[in-house]
Amino acid sequence: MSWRQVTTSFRTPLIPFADIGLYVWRGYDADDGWFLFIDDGTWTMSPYIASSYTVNGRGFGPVYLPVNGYIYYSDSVASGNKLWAVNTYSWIVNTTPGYGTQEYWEWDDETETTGSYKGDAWYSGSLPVLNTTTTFSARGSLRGTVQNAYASTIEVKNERIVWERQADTGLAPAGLYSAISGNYDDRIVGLPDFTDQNSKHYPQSLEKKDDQYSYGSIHYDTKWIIGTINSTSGWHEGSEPNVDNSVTFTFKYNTPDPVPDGWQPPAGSNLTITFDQYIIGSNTVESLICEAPIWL
Amino acid sequence: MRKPIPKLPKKPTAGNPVDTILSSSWWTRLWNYLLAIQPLYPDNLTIIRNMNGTISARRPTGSSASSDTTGGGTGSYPCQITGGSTATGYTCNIYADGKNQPSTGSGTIEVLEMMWGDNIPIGTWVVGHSTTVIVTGGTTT
Repeated sequence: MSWRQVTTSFRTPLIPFADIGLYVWRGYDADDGWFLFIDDGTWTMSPYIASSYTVNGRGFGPVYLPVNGYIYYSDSVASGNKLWAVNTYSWIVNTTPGYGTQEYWEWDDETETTGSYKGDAWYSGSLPVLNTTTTFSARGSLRGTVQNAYASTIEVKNERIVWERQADTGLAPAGLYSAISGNYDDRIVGLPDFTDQNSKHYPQSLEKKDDQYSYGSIHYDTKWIIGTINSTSGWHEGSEPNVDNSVTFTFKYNTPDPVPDGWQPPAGSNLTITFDQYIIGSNTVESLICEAPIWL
Repeated sequence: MRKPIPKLPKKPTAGNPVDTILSSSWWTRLWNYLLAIQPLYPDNLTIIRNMNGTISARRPTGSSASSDTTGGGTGSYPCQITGGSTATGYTCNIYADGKNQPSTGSGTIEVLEMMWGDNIPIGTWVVGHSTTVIVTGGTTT
């Protein structure tokens, strides 16, 4: 249940709609296998950096090799179709990424009454954004016998399921992430931060100590307290903070027996601890980095 | 003990550079030189330095201090990849006392400038630079 900001810059061709920038966040433990990055301007969580697509129902996965500056997508069958970029606005489906997009019109005879498109077999269209479908038109030898028309089309659908950060749930990229399609549990990035009525903050610790988290000055010592039990200046007792409900920490103090003349109880009042938002916090962990080796 | 580094073959002269470069002895001397300056010798893989014989350092993500441009860590160690991938990160054994001494621990290592789909084989030796990364909480189970 943790995320690490990966101190690296991966070498990858451009990935449509994804901006992994100089780093990504990588999930560990309960978030193992997940990535967190900016996708089309929005903090997004997904097991995949790049989208996956279906082309007429067949699954296409990303291949991180460049074709015209972009990664391309491949049918699971190696000899099958590929989905690759011509430029930012047009994508091609054929079996030969990077080439094979010839197309020309040829009359059947000199009367020029009938004819057909010739060339390679390919399709062209726009790459669909998240959870949408676009239509790719048949081109080249597939285009048909009517000039300026397309004999057939195929459907390309962006199939990626992602979790997007919900607004006002944390300091980006921290927050609550919800699946934008499908019935999936929400996921969390960051540590819950709590406040009291005096705007004092109580961020949850990253690790448990003696099987308990701490929350700023709130800690567990046979009971959930703020301060030190039996302190002459008083202390607070309550229960473990949680994101769903506020908890009350009651101000406590000991009254001396007998009560000295002029004794005044210490100043203090009850505190209501309420979940505020998720934060990244300032925890770090040691890691190693190295340059990409070249082997001979 | 490292073998002495042989002399770098002479730069081809202006008189007949093509013949010089094509000569097998010139290439042999260059090859021996390259072999000698390599810092590590894995079983079947070889890592070469960059042209300056150093491995460039990285400023830790989020840092703006110029002093951090030296890598931000406290040391550099021979490390042997034990698992993982570029996409998921690698695990490694650390040999802080030297490659020929017992391992001093294990850790995680990020390999910079790798293609996302390329992976380093288990057993590869790399030089790891110690640094810190930001870590935060996540989904609870």
